[in-house]
Amino acid sequence: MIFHPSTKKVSRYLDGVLSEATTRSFEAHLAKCPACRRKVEVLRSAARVCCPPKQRLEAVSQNVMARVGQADSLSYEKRWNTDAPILAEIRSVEGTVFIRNAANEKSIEAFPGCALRQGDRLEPVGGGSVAVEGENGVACLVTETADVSSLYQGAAQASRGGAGISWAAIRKQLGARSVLASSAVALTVVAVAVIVVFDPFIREQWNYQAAYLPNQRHTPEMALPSNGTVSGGLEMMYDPTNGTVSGGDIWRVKDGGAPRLAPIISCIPDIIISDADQKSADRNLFIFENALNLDELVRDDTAASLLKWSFVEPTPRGGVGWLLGSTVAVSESTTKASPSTAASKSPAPTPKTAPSASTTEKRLVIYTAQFSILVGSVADSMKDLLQKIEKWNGYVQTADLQRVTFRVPAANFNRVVEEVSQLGVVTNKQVQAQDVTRQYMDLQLRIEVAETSRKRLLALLEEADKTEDLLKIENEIRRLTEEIERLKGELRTVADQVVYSTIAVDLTAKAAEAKPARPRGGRSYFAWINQIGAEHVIRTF
Amino acid sequence: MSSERSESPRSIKRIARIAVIAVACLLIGVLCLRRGRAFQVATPDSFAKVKSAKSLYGALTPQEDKLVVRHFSVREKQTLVFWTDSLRNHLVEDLGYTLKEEGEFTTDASLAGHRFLFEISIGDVPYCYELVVFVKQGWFQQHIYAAELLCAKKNFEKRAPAVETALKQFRPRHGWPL
Repeated sequence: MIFHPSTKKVSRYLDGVLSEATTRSFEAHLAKCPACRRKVEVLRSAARVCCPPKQRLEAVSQNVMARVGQADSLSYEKRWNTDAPILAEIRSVEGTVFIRNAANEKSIEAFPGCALRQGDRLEPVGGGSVAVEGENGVACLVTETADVSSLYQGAAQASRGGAGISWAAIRKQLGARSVLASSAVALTVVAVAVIVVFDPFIREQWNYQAAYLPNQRHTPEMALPSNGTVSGGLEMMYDPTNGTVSGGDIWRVKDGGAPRLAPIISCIPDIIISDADQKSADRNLFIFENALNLDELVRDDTAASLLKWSFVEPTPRGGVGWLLGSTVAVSESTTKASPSTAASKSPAPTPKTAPSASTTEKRLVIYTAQFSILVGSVADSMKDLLQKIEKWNGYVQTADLQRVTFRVPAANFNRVVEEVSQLGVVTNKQVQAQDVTRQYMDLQLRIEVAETSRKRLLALLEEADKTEDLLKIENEIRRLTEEIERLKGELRTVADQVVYSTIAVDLTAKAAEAKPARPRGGRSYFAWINQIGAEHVIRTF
Repeated sequence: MSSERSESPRSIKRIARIAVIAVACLLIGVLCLRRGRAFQVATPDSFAKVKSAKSLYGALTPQEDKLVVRHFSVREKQTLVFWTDSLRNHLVEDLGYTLKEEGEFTTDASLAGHRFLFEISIGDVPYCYELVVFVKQGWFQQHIYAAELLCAKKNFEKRAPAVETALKQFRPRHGWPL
């Protein structure tokens, strides 16, 4: 098979920039290949048509320069390089000068009303070709690089058409890919814009990012609009027994524009509260654990009605929220304060004593673990494990010959996990922690509310005269009692799971003595092979 | 005459349309059929099928001898020899199984596989663990089928022939042709 040189190579040959060896091989090919000879002739004739002799260039250039005008408002460095190969006779230069980089065919810059002076050289894109567009299409092409194949092609096509050099032809050669790329980019931008505009989730995130994370990641200096409204989200709940605020959810802040989102999270450790109006974080900075301390808030909220908080560390829900300190601070007799009541003008109550951070509750976490362990003798290991469970102050929940599920005090969890891992070769280990603080507090609050309602109903029951009213009240009391008992049961379950951690251990025997651990801990590189074996067969059923 | 001429291309178009719809229905049907379990395996005598999923088959005897057939799709395309070496290495070196026998296993449909027989001890009771592996090349991934029999050593002689007969009829449903 004969490989014909590309047009690019032909043009480089015509430019005389090929290496000697390549030129020799190229000429050897030309001697044998009439098609390539014809190609070279076409390009050479095109160049002859387009390129004036060097001595004509200066006169033409002067003529052109005279017509371009003398205005020189551009800051670009411009020099006219008369030594560069010229591909087109300069007929006129008026209007816009386009500059392209012939090497990558991407860069384009337009200089409307550009004035060229003799000796100017246009090189804002680091070399390349210069196309000057005038009344009759392209009037002048100057190349500073040897890679001019596309220009040669355009010139050849134009010359074959007998219409001189056509800007459209050049554009076809040079700009087709750029046009396509530009169209693709434009379409992508439009698509992204449509998605951002119409997708509510992205729009909300966008609004949130724009509103709350403008300068600093966790402590933006923003104030709640003075005439805005706050709505939505769960109620903020105040526990008068330990002076903490809990609950909360997404608040929507609206100040006449699009609603923005402010996540308000409670029971997150290390919340910094500072006075947003005074912006003196050093003086009014408090770090609390687990929850916002309402008493502290009120005590230091003498000057500002607006407090802000931010999280020391990024949290799963992260971000910054706002709290209307003077209105969320409710009297101690009230158990709830909702954001909707935040607009009320009731003054903040005076706290009795500010509890210290150490009095706040810790997070409630349920710990569970699962192990699959290869042991020498299942019976011996099981016996050993059962003895240890007693030693850990735990108890067995379920057990059979190979599998045991037991519970140990949460305080011993880490030690137990460590000791269980040493029973044999651990082939599978899963440790999970689930934070149930919010669930626990929700349950507590719902019980309190239900009990309060029941007390009220009991009071009403004593005052009721009509039989119909008595029946209705009794029914409601019965319903509330059942609800309270159910909630208390849930609360006990959660508390029990928090206090005692659950650990399941699956023991499997090895036929031979354990061999020294392999680099991958006795596991194959291939995942599916690790699922082969008697242990997995037993587990299937 | 002219009306006949004008209707002729229409009828051709109609037939072509019906043909396209029929082919599409056929393809959809084939795809639906292929969405079933990844393999066909007969339940051996004395076993009862208790597990059946797309890539899993499980059967038990009254003595709780267990037969499990599983299908794995893997990206690494390798030969049966490679996988049998890997399995032998893992089971013997990593898990400490004692290899008793191994050899080729061919189904009635001429699908080549490899058979291992291991001895292990579970709770001080000797067990036999028989593993038969088949490999089939897919378009974009490799399909591996593993048939595992786990039974007490005293029951193995009784179970092995029935399991072998069932595995002889094993048919994977991946790969091309069907």
